[in-house]
Amino acid sequence: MRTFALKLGRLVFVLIIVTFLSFWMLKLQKQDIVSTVAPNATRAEQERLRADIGLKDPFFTQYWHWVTHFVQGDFGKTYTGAGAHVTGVPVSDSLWKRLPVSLELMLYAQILALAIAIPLGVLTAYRNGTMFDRLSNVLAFAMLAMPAFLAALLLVIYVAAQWHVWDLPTQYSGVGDFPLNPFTSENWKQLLLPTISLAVAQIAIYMRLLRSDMIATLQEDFITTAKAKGIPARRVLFRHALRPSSLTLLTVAGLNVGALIGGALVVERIFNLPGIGGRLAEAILGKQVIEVQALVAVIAIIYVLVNFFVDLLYTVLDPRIRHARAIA
Amino acid sequence: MPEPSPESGRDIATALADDEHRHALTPASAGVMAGGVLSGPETERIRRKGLGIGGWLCVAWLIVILFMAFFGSKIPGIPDPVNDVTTPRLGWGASGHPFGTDGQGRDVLSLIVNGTYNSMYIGIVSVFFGLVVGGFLGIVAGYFKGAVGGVLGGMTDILLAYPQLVLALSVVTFLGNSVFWVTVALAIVSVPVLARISRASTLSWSEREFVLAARAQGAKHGRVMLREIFPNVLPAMLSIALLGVAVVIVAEAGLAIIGAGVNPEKITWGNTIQSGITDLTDAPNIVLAPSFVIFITVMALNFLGDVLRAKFDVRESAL
Repeated sequence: MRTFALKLGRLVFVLIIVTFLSFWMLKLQKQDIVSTVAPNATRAEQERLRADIGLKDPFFTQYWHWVTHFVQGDFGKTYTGAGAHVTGVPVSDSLWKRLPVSLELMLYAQILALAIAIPLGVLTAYRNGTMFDRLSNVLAFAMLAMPAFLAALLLVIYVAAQWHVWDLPTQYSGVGDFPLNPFTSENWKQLLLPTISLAVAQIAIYMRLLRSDMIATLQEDFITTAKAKGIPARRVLFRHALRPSSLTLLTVAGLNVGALIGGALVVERIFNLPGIGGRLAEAILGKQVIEVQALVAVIAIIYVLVNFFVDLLYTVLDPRIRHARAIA
Repeated sequence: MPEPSPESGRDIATALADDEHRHALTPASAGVMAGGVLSGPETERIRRKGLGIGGWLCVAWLIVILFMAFFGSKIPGIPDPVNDVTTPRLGWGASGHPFGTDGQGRDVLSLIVNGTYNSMYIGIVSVFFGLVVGGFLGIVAGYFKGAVGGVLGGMTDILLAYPQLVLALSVVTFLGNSVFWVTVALAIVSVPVLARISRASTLSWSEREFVLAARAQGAKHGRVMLREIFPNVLPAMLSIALLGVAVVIVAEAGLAIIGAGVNPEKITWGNTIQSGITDLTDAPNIVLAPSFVIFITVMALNFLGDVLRAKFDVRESAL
């Protein structure tokens, strides 16, 4: 319980700092915020917006105002129009429709990467030094160096456009109608290629990690004992040897979410998927800095939360920490 | 569940587990950059012999890259990217334009050659900054374990709480998209990664006898850190820094594709890719040529980083 409270305390602290940094970063901007988001508005209209956003308040009042609204799901607005009539559309409108697409893409990529990397990692560790091991070594080396955008570009250009093996994702005009249900073929049509391009580098990372971890484990006495008892090799590998490595794999998978988010933003852009990445790019292009700030904060918070849960899971899974609790 | 004595037996076990956890954590931050690639026997061979054919190929490629960075359009046969404009969207192997031309009729090979300077500048300068600042913070944090280490560790943890690309992207959006700010953005991103590596490495070195001996002879903390610990931590940091340059080069391209890269008027590898994104089906060579150059460069840097790690026996566990 005590470790949990400590971790929770740290989570709250990190969240406060992360939101503060996200808020503060916009203030570092040299240009005036209102004239950036609504450059063609009249002076009077800009004044109105300034009051509306609360830019006239003292710094910490503004932060408090921003955070309290943020917590309630009000992420600020993105502005369109010129002259005396600038309209603000809440950022949350598109965010809630787009976030699931990005999350689904990242989840798929993570699952695909682990599903391929675990058996490969175990096998290469078991057949350490053989032709098969060396071949996958070389392949992993190339995959590791392949940026997600190169994989995405190759898939778009060759697999989709030139060879017509797989259709490109349809362009959805309204983001609301993206087929999110994973049990429909339409969903797969949309997300298979983006998922593969995101997973390529992850597969290599997990595979290498698991391989070196497993090679060490396979030399331990309990593995020899298990083999001596006549337990079939497959069972020894996947039941006995894989278990201690799973913790390392879990931690790395959690930390890799950061790289995955970065990759997803780029891949979404290349495939024109209606996810957060597309919106972020449009916001940057349109100089909607308030929206960029909100999206950055949301992404950072998601990342912090994911790592918090991985950390919790870790505590639950690691027997030594469980025992430690029993001792206490 | 009542907890009779929270301070007694619990702490040894959790400290152990925490330590283990930290070890598991650190290759991950390296793993985000790139995991170890070479296998055991391979590592052994490198330590005994030398670079091997692969290693020398990597070195050769990097020399070509540096040559391109320094000479740009002065290399004979490379047209000027801005002034020598011809038919747009020529494909691979067009006469005089081996990599074709982009949507504005600029020679793609020339864009790559002339973009090398900016891309490598961003990669090397930002990682160098990360190496100096992160290395300093990491060594101090690892050497003074107590409060100082805790505070510095917490600071790096908070910087690591941002997904790297997202942090860089917001710096560029809010502060400006010149080469300078993109470099700063990516430098900020590389500081915590290098701090973490050097801290973990320092932790393992600062317990050694020669450090104790230096202290016993009356050496000040600063001297111990500079003369005893720093030389031992350096190889690990350099090998990660090589991987870091690769990561930053990819990040520059990623930022450009999202639209948060260097000002499009400047020629970089990322901007060349970005300029071809709208012509994917008509002229795939515009995006593919610079992407492959990035791919090969990343591969070369990764390989040399691994070689360095093998040579100096940087143990995975110490990372």
